[in-house]
Amino acid sequence: MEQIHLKTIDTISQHLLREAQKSGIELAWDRYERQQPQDGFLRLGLNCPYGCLQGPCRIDPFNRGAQRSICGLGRDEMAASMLLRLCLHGALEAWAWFKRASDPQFPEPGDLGVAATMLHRPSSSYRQLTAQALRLSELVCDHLGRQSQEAGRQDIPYRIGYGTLVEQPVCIGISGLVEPDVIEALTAAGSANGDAPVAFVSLGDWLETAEGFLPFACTSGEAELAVLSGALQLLVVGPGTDRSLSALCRTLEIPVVEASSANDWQEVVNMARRGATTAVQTARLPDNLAIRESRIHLSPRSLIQEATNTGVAGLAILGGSDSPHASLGQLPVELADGLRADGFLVAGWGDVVLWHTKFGHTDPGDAAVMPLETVQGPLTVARELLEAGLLKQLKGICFTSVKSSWELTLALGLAQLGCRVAIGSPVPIMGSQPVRETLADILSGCGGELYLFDHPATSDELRQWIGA
Amino acid sequence: MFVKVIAVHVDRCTGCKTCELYCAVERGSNSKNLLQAAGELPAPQARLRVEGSNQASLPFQCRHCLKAPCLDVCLAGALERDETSGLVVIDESLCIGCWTCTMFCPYGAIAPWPERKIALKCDRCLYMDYPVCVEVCPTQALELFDIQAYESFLRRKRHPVAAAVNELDQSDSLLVLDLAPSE
Repeated sequence: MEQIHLKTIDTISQHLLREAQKSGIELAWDRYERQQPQDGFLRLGLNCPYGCLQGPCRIDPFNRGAQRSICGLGRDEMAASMLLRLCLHGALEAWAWFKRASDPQFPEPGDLGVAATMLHRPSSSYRQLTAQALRLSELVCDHLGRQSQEAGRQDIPYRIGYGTLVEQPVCIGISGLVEPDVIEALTAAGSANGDAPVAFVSLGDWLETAEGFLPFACTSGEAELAVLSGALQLLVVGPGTDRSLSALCRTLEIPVVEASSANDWQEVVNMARRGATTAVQTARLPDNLAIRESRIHLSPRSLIQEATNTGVAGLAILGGSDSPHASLGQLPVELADGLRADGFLVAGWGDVVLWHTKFGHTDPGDAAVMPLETVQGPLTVARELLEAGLLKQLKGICFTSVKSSWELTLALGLAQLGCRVAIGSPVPIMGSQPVRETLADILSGCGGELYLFDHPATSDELRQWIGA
Repeated sequence: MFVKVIAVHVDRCTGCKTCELYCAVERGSNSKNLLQAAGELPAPQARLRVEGSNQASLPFQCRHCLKAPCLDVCLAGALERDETSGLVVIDESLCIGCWTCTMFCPYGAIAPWPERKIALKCDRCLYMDYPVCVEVCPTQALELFDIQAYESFLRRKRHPVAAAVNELDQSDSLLVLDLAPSE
């Protein structure tokens, strides 16, 4: 693994990357490099990967090879089908990942059924396929928006830093979408009479407890590094955990417990305690580890009020997930710095705001970045500005990178609300100009915009787009 | 004289056409970026083609024949053999797009590029560090072989055949090759 300093801007992470290199441990960046170049047809959206079992089919973007799929799809229909497929996946993810006990109902299945039918050897035009993709994204935003309407929730504190790994003699990591009752049972077991206090840390997932979010050891892109640190005695994994985390734990002989299968959480905690006393501590972390604190603002009224001040250039919201496409943290931090220098108010969510917190951008003070709730945050701000007739003050919502289909679907949904949205990493519809134009037409009819890049965007490019 | 050839491990080629795509991008586009190249006009063109079926696919490149018919028939003198590498290359500034070479190539390795009014063929990325197709192949089906190593490769293929023959019943040790067609 070369050029460690380009993988992440966090110096502790860089240290851990060197440790991984010395130990010959494979991480996501190694796997990403070995995947290069990634499948060109899929990157362009010119691949119908088993839409039916006659395939897989692909279309030559340079017009020499196949120009139609076996069922007759042309280039534009194939790219539009790809978009619809991703949005269908995103809608299913959004329901599965963000459903609450109070709202278990599957969102209106009609549109999902329509999408599935359209994807069965698609005979619709690329315009119809694109429109249905947007319909699904509207559905996702509606479903996710309903989650934020639960009353009585206060701002939620959170902490982040590798220092959370060494606050207590025993540290249990939690990854994936672990149910709140499991976290509650775990933390209760950790507080029960025991020899050593136990710390519970998240490896990048926003896991809420009664006291606030579980402390973050790291952002989602650094999860392997947190495991590599040697400071975890046990890892609890839920849905959405990268397989590589469990594999790395096995390599390092750290026990892994599936959140869905365990039921004696006291025994799990005791297992971690035994691990702390019996194992040779090989913590690879340096000294002087920082921990930063901030709060998620559930009701960003003050942000909206400030955004309307005449002295402010406008509001920019930055979000998205870590991705090996770009140096971890660089885009969120550089972009926030640049936008604040340009006089913008900045808010953030997800991995992006964790980076802002790590680098002190969310510390109280003028021009502090305001942390928002993941997903519901930008939706809430956009809706409140829309209702107040002040959406023009929201100069841009920027996804620095998207990792899951639901993020792409959310981006489309926000654009349909009338927001200017940019995605900083390439999305697989670049193979069809007409599909991109159709998207732009429909969204401009809603007053919105979706700006796509054909390469990982730089902070200057995004800053220019927001300021335009 | 050149000593490296691009060899294909036929059992590893999956027909994914990654080599074609990235050859077109790296050697035929202005942007050198796949996502931008997909929208360029004229459309970038690859210098090799993947042909075959689900059962067996094969990337076809120029063989740089030692007795290249294309060299003999080129009317404009655009085709020439590079003295150092021995590879047959097209001087695009001299090519008049008559495509006589495309008709005479026995492998179909030379293709017309009407939009640019020239013929196009693989030059084994002569002026680059490494052939693009070899670099991008996801299964390493394409390999840059030293001619000496190729001979070693062939020897390794011959060895088990020789060993198998030697294990035949030695009582009938005369191996007869019947070359006459049976009636």
